[in-house]
Amino acid sequence: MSTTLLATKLYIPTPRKNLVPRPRLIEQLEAGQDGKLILVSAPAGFGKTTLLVEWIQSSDKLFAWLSLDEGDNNLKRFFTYLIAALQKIDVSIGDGILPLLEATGEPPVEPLITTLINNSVMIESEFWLVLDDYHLITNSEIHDAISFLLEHLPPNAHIVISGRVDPPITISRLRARHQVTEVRPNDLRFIESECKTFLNDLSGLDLSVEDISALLARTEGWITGLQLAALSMQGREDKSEFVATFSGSHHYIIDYLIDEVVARQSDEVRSFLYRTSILERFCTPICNAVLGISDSKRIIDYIDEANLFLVPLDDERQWYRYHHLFAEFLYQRLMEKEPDHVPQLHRQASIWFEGNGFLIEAIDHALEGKEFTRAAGLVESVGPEMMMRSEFDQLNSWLDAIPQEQVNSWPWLCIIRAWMCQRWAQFDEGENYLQCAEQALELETTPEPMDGGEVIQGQICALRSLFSLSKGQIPPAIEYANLALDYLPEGYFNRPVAADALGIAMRVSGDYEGAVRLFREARKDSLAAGNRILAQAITMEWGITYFNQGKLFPAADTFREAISYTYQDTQIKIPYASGASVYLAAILYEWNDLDQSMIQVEEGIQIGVQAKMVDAVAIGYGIMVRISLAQGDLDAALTANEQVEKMNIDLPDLEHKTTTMALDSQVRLLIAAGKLPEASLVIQEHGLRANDEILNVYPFGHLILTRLLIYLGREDPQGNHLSEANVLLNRLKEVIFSTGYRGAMIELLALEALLFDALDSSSQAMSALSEALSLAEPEGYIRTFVDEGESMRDLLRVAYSQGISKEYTSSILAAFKPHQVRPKPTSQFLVEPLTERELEVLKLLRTELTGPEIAQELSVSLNTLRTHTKNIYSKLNVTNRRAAVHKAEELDLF
Amino acid sequence: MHDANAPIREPEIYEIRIQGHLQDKWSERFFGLDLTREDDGSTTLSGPLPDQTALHSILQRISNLNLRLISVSEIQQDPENK
Repeated sequence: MSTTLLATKLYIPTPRKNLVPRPRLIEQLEAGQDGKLILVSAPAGFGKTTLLVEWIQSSDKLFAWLSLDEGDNNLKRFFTYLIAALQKIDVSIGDGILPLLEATGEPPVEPLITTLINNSVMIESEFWLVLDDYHLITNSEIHDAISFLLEHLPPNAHIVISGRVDPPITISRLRARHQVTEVRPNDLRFIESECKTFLNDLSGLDLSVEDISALLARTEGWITGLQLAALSMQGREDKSEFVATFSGSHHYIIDYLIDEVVARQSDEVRSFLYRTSILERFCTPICNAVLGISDSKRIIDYIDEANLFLVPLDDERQWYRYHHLFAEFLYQRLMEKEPDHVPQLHRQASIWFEGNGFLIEAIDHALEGKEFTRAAGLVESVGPEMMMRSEFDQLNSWLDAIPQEQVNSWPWLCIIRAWMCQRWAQFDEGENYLQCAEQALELETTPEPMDGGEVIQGQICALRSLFSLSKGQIPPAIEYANLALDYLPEGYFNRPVAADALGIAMRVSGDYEGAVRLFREARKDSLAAGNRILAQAITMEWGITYFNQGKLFPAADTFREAISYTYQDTQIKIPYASGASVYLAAILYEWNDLDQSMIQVEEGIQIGVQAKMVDAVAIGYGIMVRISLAQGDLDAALTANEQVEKMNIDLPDLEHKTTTMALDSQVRLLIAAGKLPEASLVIQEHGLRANDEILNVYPFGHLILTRLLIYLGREDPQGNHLSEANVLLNRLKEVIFSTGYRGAMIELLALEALLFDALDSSSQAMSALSEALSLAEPEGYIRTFVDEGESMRDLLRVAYSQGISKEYTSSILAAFKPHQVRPKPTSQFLVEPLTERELEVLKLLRTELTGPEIAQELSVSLNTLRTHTKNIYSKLNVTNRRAAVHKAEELDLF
Repeated sequence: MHDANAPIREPEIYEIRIQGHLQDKWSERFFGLDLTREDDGSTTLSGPLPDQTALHSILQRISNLNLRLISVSEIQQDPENK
C-alpha cells in the first residue's frame, strides 16, 4: 500500500480557465532555460504553480512534475517519487536505482544520486524537473542530496524549485556561474495591465481605472487577494463603494474577503466547504461518506465553476484539493463553528480511506480524530508488512502519536517498538515491550491472530535471542533462537534473522561447524526472500566464524563473497561490504600484503562512512594504524589513530569488539613510539586489569595487556612486570585454548616466547615459538610475528638455525626486511646519525670489494676512506667491517 | 524528562508588528499571543514564547499568509519583577 504511489503527486496541474496571460514572466523563464536552476520563491497565493503550468503549456521542452508534501521528508519516499516523476519522461530512468530504494534500511545517498545522474544523461532530450511546494521539505539530507544533484547535473537536465521560502540548498556556485534564474514576489505581483485584464476582461466586473488602481494598491498585486476581491464583487451593484470601503480598511485581506466570499454561498455550499477542509485531497465518494450526503458531485462542480480555489489533481477531475491558503482558512472556521463535529469527520474519512485501500491516510485521519484504538488497530494490521519493507520511520511517527497504554495493548505495535529498541541498543526497554506483547496476545480486545500468534511468538523469541546475544548471555540466546525458528514458518521474511542470531551464539560458544551450517541455511533463505542485505550480513558473520578460528583462507574467500554483494541489478555495494572489507584487509595485513590491505581498508572505510557502519569504520582505522606502522609511516599511523580516538569519544555505543580492536592498534602505536607509560594509561582508561575475570566470549583485550607487561618488563627487569605477565599469560592461555580462536592462540604463544626470552629461558621460548609456528604455518600468518619486533626476529633466527619450520620461518624473516616495525632507526637508535657519505661507504663495505677498491670507487684516498670507516665503526659501536655490516643490517640502514 | 542541571530559562517575551488589522481569532494560530490592532493600521502580536523555534514558526506563518512583517523585538524583562 505505501509503495503504491499517488499518481496525483506527479500530475502536472491543468491550467485554470480564464487565466491572465503573463508573457513578461514566461519570457523571464525562457531566458533562464539554459541555466541549471529556476527558483520560484513567493508566499502562498502569488500564482507560482499557475505560472509554471502556463510555461509548460507554451513550451516544447519535456517536463517532469512532483508536488511535494510533508510526508516526503524521508529520503526513500522522496527519491521514489522523484524517480517516478522522471519516469514520465523516460521509463528506463529508474533502472539500477529502484532496487536501492526497495531494499531495507537507509538508501545510500551518493551512489543513488550518481546513478540517477548517469541515467539522466541517457535521456537524449533536454528536460526540466519541477519540484513544487519545496518549502514542505525540512529534511536536511534531502537538501544536501538536491545540492549535490545540482552541482553534478548533466547538461540536458534542469531543475525548477518552487516554494514559499528560499530553499536551504547551496546555490552560490551556480549563482556565480549565472546558472540560476529567480522569480520572486515582486516579479509575480499583478501589474496594472494584468490587474485590468483579470478584473474587467476575465471577471467581467467592468471597473473604472481608479477602482482598479485602488484594488491593486490595496492588495499590492497579490493575486489571491485580487481573486477574492473579484469573487466578493460578483453580481454587486455598488462595486465602487465596495472598492472604497475595502481600500479604506486596514483589515487583513483574507479576514476581510474570505468571509465575504463564503457568506455569499448557500448554507449547503458553505457547510460543504468547511467540512471538507479536513481532507488533504478529496473526490466525490469520500465527500459523500464524510458528510453523509449523496450529491457531492453537484456541489463540487459548482465550486469548480465558481472558481472557489479548487485545484484538480488529475485529468479525469476525480481528485481535488483546495488552494492551501483557502483550505487553511476554511479549517480555521470549521474549528471555530463546530469543533465537536471535527473528530467525527476525521473518523468518517479514516473509514472511507481504509475501505478504499489508502491505509496511510486512514491512519493519519484516525490519529487526527484522536481515534486511537482505530489508529492502533490499523497500524497493527499493516505493521508486519511495513516492517518487512523497513518502513520504520513511518511506523515510529505513528507509534509516537498513539498513547503508550494503547501501544502496549497491541502485540505488533509492541514488537515494532522492540525492534526499534534492538536497533538503538535499548535492551531493557525492548524486553518490557516483549512482555507487553505477550500480555497483549492474551487480551480479548485485540483480534486473535489467524495463526494463533505463532509469528508473534516467533518475533518475541527472535528479539529475546538478539537481546541475550547483545548482553553476552549465550545459553538463553541459543534457546530463544531455536524457539524462534520453531515458531516462524519457513520463508517468513525475518526468519533468517533468528537463524543468524543462533549462528552467532553457536560460534561464540565454540560450535563453529554448527554455526557455519546455520549461516549457510540462513543465507539461502534470505536470498530466497530477496533480502540481499540480510544475506550479506549473514555471509559476513560466516566469514568472521572462519576468521576467529584462524582459518584465514576460507575467511578471505567468504569476505570477498560478502563484498561482492550488490543491490539487485545495480553495481552499488551493500553497506555490510564495509565490515567485510575491513576484515579482509586484516587478513591481507596478516599475510603482509600491505598495499592490497591498505586499498581494501580504505574502501571499507569509505563504504562504512557512507552507510554509517560506525563499527566497521572504527575497526578499519585501527587496521590502518597497523598498516601504516608496518610501512614505517608514523605520521599516517598517528592520523589514523586520531580517527579511532575521535570515534571512541563521539560514539559511546561502539561494540566491545570494536573498542578492543581499536585499543590494540593504539597500544601497538604507542609501544612502537616508545611511549610505554602512555600505553599503560590508555589500557587503564579502557578498564583492562591483569586480575580481571577473562571472558571466553572475547578474550582479546588481555593479550594487549600481556604484550605491554612484557615490554615494560624488558625495560625494567627488576620490577614485577614480567611475573605479572607470566601469571596473566597462563590464565589467558587456558581461556583462549578452550575457545579455539587460532589467531589468538598464535599471538599468545608468540608473546609467551617473548616472555621466556625476556626471562632468559631460551629453551622454553623456543618451544613456545615452535608451537606458534606449527599452528600458524597452514594459514600463512606473518605479521603476528613480524609486529613483535627485533626480539622476535632474533628468536626466529634461532628457530631457523635449529631447523624449525625452516621454509616458513625464512619467509617470516624475509618480511622483516623492507619495513621496520620500529620507528626510524637512524634517528632513534644512533646517538649520532651517519652522514650521506658514510652511508655510501657502508654500502660498499657490504660488498666483496677491498679497501683500495672502495677508495677507488669513491674517488678518495685510502686515508680518507679510513677516516670514514673509523667514524662509522664508532657511531655503530663496532670494531670491524663484518660487525658494522651486521649492525647496519639490523638497523635497516641499507 | 527535564535535565535537572540545565538552566531553566524564562520564556522570552516578543513583540511582532505586522501590516494590517488581524481579527482576534488568529491569536490561536500564533501561539496565543495577544493581538492589538494599532491606529496606524498595523497589528502587534505580543507575549511569551517558549523558545526561538516557536518564534520562527510564527514568522513562517506570517510569511505563508502573505502578511507584511514590520518588526520583531524581544522585550527585556525587568529582572526586579521576575
